[in-house]
Amino acid sequence: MAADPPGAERPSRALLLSAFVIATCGLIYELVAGAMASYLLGDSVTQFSLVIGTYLSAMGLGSYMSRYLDRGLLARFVEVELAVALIGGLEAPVLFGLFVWSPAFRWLLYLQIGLIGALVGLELPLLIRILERETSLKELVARVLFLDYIGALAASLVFPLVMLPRLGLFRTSIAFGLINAGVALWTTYLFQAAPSVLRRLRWMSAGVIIILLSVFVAAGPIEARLDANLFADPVVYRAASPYQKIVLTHRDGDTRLFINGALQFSTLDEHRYHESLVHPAMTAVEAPARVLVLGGGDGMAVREVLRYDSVQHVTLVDLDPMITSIFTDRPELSALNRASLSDPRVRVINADAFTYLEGRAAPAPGAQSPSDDVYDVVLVDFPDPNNHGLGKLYTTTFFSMLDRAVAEGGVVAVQATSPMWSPSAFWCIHRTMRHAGWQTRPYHAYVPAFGEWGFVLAGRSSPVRFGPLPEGLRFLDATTRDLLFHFPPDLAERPGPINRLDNQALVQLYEEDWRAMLKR
Amino acid sequence: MRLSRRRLLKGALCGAFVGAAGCSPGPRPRVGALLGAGRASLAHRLWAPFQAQAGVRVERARVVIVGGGVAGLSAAWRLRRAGFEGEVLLLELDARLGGTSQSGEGGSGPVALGAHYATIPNKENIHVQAIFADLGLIVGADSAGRPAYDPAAICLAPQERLFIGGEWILGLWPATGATAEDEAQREAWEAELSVWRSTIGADGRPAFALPIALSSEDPALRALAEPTFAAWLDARGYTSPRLRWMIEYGCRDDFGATLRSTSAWAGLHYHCARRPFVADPLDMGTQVLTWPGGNGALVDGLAKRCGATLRVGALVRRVEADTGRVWVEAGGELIEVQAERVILAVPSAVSARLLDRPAPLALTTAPWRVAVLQLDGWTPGPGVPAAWDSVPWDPELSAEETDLGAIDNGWQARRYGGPTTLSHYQPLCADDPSAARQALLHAGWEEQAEAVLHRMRKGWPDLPEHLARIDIWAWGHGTVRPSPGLHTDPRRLAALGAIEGRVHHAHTELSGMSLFEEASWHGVRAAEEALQALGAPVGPSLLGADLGAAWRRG
Ligand SMILES: Cc1cc2nc3c(=O)[nH]c(=O)nc-3n(C[C@H](O)[C@H](O)[C@H](O)COP(=O)(O)OP(=O)(O)OC[C@H]3O[C@@H](n4cnc5c(N)ncnc54)[C@H](O)[C@@H]3O)c2cc1C
Repeated sequence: MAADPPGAERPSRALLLSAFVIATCGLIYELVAGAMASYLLGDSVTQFSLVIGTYLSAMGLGSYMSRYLDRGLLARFVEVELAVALIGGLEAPVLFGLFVWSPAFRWLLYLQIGLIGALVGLELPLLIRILERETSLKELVARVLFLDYIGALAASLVFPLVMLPRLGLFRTSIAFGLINAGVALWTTYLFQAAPSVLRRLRWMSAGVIIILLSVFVAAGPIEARLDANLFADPVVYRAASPYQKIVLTHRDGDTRLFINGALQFSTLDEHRYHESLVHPAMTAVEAPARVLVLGGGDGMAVREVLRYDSVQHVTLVDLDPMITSIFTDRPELSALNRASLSDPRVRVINADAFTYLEGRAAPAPGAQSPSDDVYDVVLVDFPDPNNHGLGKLYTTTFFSMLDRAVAEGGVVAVQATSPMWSPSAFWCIHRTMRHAGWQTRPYHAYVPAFGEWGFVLAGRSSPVRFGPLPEGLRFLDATTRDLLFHFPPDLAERPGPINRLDNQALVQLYEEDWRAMLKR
Repeated sequence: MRLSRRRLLKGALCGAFVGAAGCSPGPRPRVGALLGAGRASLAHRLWAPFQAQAGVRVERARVVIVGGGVAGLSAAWRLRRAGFEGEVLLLELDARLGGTSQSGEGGSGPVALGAHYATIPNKENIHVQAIFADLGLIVGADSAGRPAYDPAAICLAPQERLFIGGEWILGLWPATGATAEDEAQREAWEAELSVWRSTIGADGRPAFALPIALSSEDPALRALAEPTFAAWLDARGYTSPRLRWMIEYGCRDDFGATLRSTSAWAGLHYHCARRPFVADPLDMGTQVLTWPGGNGALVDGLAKRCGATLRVGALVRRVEADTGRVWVEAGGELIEVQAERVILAVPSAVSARLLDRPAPLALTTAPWRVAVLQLDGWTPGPGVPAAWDSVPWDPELSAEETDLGAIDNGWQARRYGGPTTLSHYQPLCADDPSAARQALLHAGWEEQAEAVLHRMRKGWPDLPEHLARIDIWAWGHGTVRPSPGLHTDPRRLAALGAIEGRVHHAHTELSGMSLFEEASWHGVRAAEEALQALGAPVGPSLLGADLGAAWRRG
């Protein structure tokens, strides 16, 4: 074994103290990784245990690798320390960036955790070997490991109770990176070595500290800008299907579903939305038996539909198998729709509603006669038309095709965006349905999570007479239902174009509406 | 920004940990070929010496149509429509019908190799309305009797987007960074166009009509065909570079020409001749009809409904105008076909060769390079995520160098992104196109593919990662240029179409513009002439009540 530089024999308490700091920082990085993983990927138990497993095994690997480091142990120790400071300190912002920009986030997450773990794993063996020369092994192991475990305790208390609430995830991880880098710099003053070596190590430390400090300053505004919606409440489930990003949050009895960052419902008031979407249409026909739901893969609308004993079958067409399957299979979610999607009367089809209606236009040879396949009530519950793929579901072509799916005397109800926030879009949908030959009755309801929300009820003749509402509704009664159809002057109809596949006027109107709204 | 960040991060990580799971494979090896090579070598045989031989196999047909492009197929379609009962034989040298309107195969469906749209016809444009009705494209009418078109064929929105200032914006006007002066000139230009659109000549016909034959022949209006479009715009004070870019885009798109090599009359024609006659015009977002794979759909429709015997891989070598004898090489054999009438639906340089006489008029034609790119998906760049036609704005490049961008062959399937096939268009607009033509026809695939990808690198930054295949198609004589002087006197072009013995002429070149409307009009006209010559019933003419005097003389 080669000799260490002169002066390495001044290990002192100072180096022991750094064992404490190292241990604290090491655990903090692990906690940050676990928190990020469960934040971003959902399913915290799995994520935490995978992160801890990866981290610990990487530490083991790092400890083993320490046997290959022979020369200039103190300098190596400083270098490892600086690497930990940099990679660990920037862990949270980098992971977030990777999540946003890389589809391979999951693997990169483990790669980064592994890297940090391995570096942290190198630290203690190096330290023990440096100190070994002046203290007996017995003493040394006892002290170092004691400080290591105490440091871990400190971290586990400081992280959730002090750092996270004060600094947020980004700045917490950077702050500990700074502490790490500080220890490294300090260490260079504890031993003597060739001045060139010391100079190099100090410059490196200064560089790392400057980098971390500048990211620390920038991190505040960045973190503040992150989608406030998404991170307002703890994320309990997150998934990305080929079609959309799905996020569920939960806090104090309020579960919220977000698709591509847009709120779909909040359990505090979704009953207002779904009762308003479903019951005017369901009570506008006598004894509705066949119901088609387009969109609405969360099963909430179907839940309302199944309140009617007359219903014999319900077909639900939703693009995304991920949505319909989590709302069928995950107990906490199917509790919200009262297991409506598992009801024997309900058939779930995962298809693009446009393609589905087009396919119906030309029934396959040998298929049941088309009249078997029409519906008394069709409920259309698509996301708002903020892109052309969704805009096509509100076009003259779409609403004309819809006609073939509706039985004699049947009705349609369409979610039509907000007559308050996006009035041009709302009235464009209404106008487009009229142009496609429907007799329409626009209506609206107040849903606190969304504001004033709009729908269009339509039939081949205007649906004006309503039957009795089912039992157990929380929002609608006969009087409220009548009031929905009244539009006060500030929600009055406005003129504009018709939405067609060849102009997609609605997408533009919707965008303009929201831009105008945000300016207010 | 979004993309480059992502790639940067990826690149850094992949560099550090080669082979780590999740790293992108990066640009793929390039796969593809030069298409249409067989066609080119066949066509070149035309220029080999030919001696008509006796003693070869003889076939007979009442009408032989040479050329299976839009003109030839429209002629056959018109004969069928008149109830013509005799044998009609159509001979096409290519393995596929359609000529410059053909589609190719592109992985996920047909792809455009040439023409890719038609406009909704004007009211007076009865031959196109008749064809469209027959092909099932007219599905009804509104209360005013205006035809309603098949929604599946009406180009979906958004039709066009422009890559400018690092992002895609809607439409073709380079709005980003335009000055008040630019905008003012643009407004003046739009106002001027609307005047021209409704201008009527002394002969009572519209100044600009489609087909061209219905345009006014008023010499005062035709004088516009003398100056170059560039000089005319200068004289009118249209100096804004952005406005001129947008106007020139039209010349490049339709003619493969610049403002310098287009006449003012033709340049205005592009903007003023279309007055679509359509149900509920106010609701219409567009006047463009398009199909997956472009106008190949029209070619297929015509081929199915034309009733002629269609023979592909048949190279016609010689036509005798007086006797109606046609020599054709097909299946390795030389055959003589004896016809009562012959319709030559080929470019005028080819007719001259077939008839073994000099061409009455030399035309300038533009070479085009079309690239077909099969993508397994693409990440929308910044701005408008997708459109049917995606056009780059690159003011640093000269009009000769710049491309027209790409159309999305899967657009009408309403996918709005995802795996698809693009057709990328580059007309070679040099004043004298012959050098560019030679270079195009002799360049290798690698070099051409590289050039296309280089042109597309800005608007489609992750293209190389998604590119499954890129094929190149070169048109040596893609479109005819309406050069200054060509349209001044309608008789100039009519000379190309004069009946010679048993021969009638039909080709888009006879209009001095390359368009579906023109090619089909000449096919229909030649067929009506042939029917008359044969003494067969013609039925109501489809040429338009106001048929141009030059063609009426024929
Ligand atoms: C790249 C490109 C893009 C275009 N885009 C559009 C567009 O979007 N919209 C539009 O309206 N127009 C477009 N055009 C114009 C297009 O040329 C016309 O629409 C139309 O296809 C012209 O048809 P044609 O029958 O007159 O001529 P051609 O297409 O030239 O047809 C002539 C046919 O004759 C055959 N032929 C030639 N010689 C012989 C021989 N000796 N024996 C047998 N057969 C022979 C050829 O193979 C060919 O099939 C485009 C053209 C190009 C090149």
